[in-house]
Amino acid sequence: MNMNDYKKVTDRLEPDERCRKEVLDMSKRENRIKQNTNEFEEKVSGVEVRRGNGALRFVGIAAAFALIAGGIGTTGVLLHKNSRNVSQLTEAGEEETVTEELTEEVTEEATESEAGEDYDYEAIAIENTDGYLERTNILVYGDVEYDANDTITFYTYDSSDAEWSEKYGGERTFCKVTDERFNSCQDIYDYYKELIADTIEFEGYSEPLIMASDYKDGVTLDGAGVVSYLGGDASGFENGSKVDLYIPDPEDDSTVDYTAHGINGGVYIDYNGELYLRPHDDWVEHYTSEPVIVENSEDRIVVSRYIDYNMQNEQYGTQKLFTLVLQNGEWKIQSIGTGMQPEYLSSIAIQCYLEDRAEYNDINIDCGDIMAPLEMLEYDEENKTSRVHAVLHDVNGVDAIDVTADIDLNSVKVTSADITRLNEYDGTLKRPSVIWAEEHPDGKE
Amino acid sequence: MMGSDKMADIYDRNKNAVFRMAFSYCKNKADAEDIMQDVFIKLFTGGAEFESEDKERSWLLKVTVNKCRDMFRSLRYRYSLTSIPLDEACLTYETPEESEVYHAVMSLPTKYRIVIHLYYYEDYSVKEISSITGTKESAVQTQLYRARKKLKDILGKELLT
Repeated sequence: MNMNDYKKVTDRLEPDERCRKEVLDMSKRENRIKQNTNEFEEKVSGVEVRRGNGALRFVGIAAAFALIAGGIGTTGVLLHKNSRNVSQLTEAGEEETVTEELTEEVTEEATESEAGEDYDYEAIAIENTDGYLERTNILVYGDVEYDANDTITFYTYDSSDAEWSEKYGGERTFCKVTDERFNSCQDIYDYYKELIADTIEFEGYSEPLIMASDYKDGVTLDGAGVVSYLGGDASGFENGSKVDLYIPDPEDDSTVDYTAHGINGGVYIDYNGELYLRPHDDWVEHYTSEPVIVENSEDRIVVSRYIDYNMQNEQYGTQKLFTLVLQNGEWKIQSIGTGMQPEYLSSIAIQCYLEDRAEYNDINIDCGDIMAPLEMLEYDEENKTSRVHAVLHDVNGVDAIDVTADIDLNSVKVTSADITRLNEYDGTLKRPSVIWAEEHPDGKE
Repeated sequence: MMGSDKMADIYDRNKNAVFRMAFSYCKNKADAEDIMQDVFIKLFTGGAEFESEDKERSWLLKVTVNKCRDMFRSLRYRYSLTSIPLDEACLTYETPEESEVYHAVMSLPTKYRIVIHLYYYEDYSVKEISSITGTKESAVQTQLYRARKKLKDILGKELLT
């Protein structure tokens, strides 16, 4: 037993290959935008470039990575909007776009099972995916009945960080849960676990994880710890009191008061033997399609179902691939993978297409700005292609181009595009980006 | 501006060191990959040049440690309740000893894990670790001493190097 044992285990750790492409693509893209902006700043006087804070930048980049390779969305968070007016030539070359009705739906064909006489796979698919969504909405979004008049309130702050306390701390009001199914955080977790297999798998991980029995050690199929949602017993804090979130040593878990943090960030807490909920807005995930069985065998089913969790009212959203396994005679969910994201990938393809063309340097190409107006005219799941339409704005928020594009979703590339300008190109409106302009908040690097 | 080939060379040369440093800090693959990507993007878009590959690597590890600290200071970590367990799914052990030693190291407080990783895995000197972590040399010495002592307590015997 020696330090070589540590070295040998560490030697086997390697990042996924996809990271390479993501890093190189995003760096190239950032450099191109940087080059554009440098030219822009040299040419245009009086442009104030906003410099975001380090935390926002990190969150932006992390979120972008979480979405997909490229992460161009980061730039949009910090994009400066030039305040000058430009004349808008709404008549210029405007074309009528013929929108084909979406005729193809994700249709399900009756799946013949090799052992089909024993199980109704369609019913299993519906029951498990519906049940999973209901449980996720309860755990993550607090989708249970509660009494809005029966409340307890705390006030969170960080005694070492006045700025954080001012910006993010403050009132945390919880309402008593009246749903008879749930009396404690553990009940919420137990309900969530009902449809989950004893061993679960995450995308990209080679070994399964054992599902924890206690919510304090809990895991969810999205890979997040459920303690984020389940704050535990906060009875030690008096109703109406101030709750200090100070962590003496951020690098040492033992210095964290998890109960205090449960009050600050949890969806549920236990309080004097009752369960309380911090209500969210009416924000729950929903499916945009019926389940489709894509694989099945005697003890394993893979079900595809599209879900809209970006809350952008997408027609399709994100394809989720549920793997169900037979466990003690019951079908349980073992993993949930991510498949196609027709709207998102189409937006990324358009973003890259426009970015490479100087005549569209005035167009706002933040992913969200493309996704919001995006209409999915056609989506071919089998061949992974789409045809989309969108009217995009320039950096002043003015309708500037009308785009109809065919997309190869596999390579995330535009295969053909019909673009009509709705106003005249203004070369002074090149979109800037400020990511590279930032300095490390601690001045370290 | 750095060319694509150069970026690819630097990435291929350093990806494992950066990822493993980040994993040692974060204890999970997803965060370690996010940090690794952030570090390389910073290098590739910031235009830094180094006189040697050694300097390049120590810069990358320094930025990695800072990024890890930033992440742990971030709202996500500070004010979420997510206690990050060791991501066993991406680890493989060929002997019980490997598992025992690795778990012992990963159970150390973060600051001790970092110096152990840099000293024993990356073979950096105390002076170099001091530069990478921004900690005084005497503090690095103390952390190494305490880390070894804790490992001895956990494993019941002194670890040979």
